[in-house]
Amino acid sequence: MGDIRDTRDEDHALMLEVRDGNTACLGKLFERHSRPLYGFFVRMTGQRTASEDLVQQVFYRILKYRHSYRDEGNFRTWMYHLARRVATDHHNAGARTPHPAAEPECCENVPDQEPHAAAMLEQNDNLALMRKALAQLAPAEREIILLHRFQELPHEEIARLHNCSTGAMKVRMHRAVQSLRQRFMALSGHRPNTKEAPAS
Amino acid sequence: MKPDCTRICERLVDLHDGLCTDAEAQLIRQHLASCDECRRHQEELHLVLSALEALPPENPGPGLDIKFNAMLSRELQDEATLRATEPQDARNKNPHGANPSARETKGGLLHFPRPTAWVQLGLAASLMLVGGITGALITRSLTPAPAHGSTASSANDDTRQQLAALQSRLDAMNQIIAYSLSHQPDSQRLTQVALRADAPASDSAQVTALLGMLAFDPSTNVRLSALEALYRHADQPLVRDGIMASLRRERSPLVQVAMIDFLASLRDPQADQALVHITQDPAATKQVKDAARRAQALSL
Repeated sequence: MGDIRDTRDEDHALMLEVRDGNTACLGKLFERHSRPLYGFFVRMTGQRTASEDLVQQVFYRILKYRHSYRDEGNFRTWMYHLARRVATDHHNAGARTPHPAAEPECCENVPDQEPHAAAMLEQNDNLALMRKALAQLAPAEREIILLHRFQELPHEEIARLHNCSTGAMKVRMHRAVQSLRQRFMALSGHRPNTKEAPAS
Repeated sequence: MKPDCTRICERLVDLHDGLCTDAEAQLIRQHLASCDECRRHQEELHLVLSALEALPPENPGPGLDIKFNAMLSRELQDEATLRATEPQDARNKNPHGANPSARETKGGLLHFPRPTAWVQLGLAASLMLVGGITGALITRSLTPAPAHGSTASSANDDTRQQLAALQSRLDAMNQIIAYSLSHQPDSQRLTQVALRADAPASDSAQVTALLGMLAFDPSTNVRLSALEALYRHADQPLVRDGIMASLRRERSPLVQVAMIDFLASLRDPQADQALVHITQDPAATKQVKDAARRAQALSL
């Protein structure tokens, strides 16, 4: 937790530098956040090439509207606020959002450490099914799951992005996860559980 | 599902993530030991969350960094060019692109044009004159006219409509004058923009206030911040119309380009008229006209 807070403080300090004219600091912010942001867009849109452009657009807006960054701001929340808007503009421009599983490279076998062939196959199957289940979610549900579980935004920050209370966001998150669970289990055909026992 | 089961299932994700207290975790596990349905739910959830966590990161191609550096270099160069063409009149001068509050702190240049005392007096006198004329017209319209039938009645209706329009313009002028006479520093007005930006999307008063700041604030940065805050309300025709109206009178190329980008993002054919006007405006810079032409191409 201390590491996360330190990183956020550094991001905030870097963005204040950018706002005050030291635009070289934007490069450091790009190094830190461009890849997670790219991953967010790929999982949201299912489009790799477009996602690279969307990352550029977010940082373009960060540069263009740097003067509106507040002294008490949170850089990551602000960045994802801009990212959501870029994604909406992209959607409104008529861009199609095919399932990520529809892109061949998304379904490549993922190398893992399991030596046993059956375990490898099962893991790769689960990954492909998870990609498909994510793609089938409503965009709003997919977005909040990605923001929380991949971009590691806490509920409070996601709630602020959506202009709702933290409690309301937790309810939405719960429903989104249940929706994902139902789709995943339906895609997997209610196959038996894996060998690994529940962590709890 | 029983109420207890519903409450338990709502906490299963927290249990998976290790966010439950020891006491909560123990209660949940006790329930799971005796409830087949919840236990099945938990096993499925564990499978789903594990699969989600196992998804590998998505890696971009090598071009991402190259494109970013090219974009940064290009935009900073364009911005320097645009700032060099900023008008020297009543608009706020911002040579370094720095935060006004920072410049104030450093005691740097802050060209904040304030109306002189004579200008304020002149504006107030004009307001009184317009108010007096309006009052006279209202008094005359309310005076009973001789009974000449429907002709006098329709004339009164016309007069009332004209008075209503004049009153509306007077109210707007009041707001303009009040805004222009404001002596708040740039940093305070930027804070106001930030506060208004947080208002709910349905709050029309805040939208109107932001449009007013976009139209009349003497600071380039405040106008740019107001424009940024208006993106949330981009679906409202009032916002589109307000930005189009402001674009016609805006003289800062930086703000003009930002407004053009905003209108381009709307992809609204009605914005095309404002873009055409800009491309034909002899006072507009080449960069602004190019931005307007690009925006027109996007809307086709």
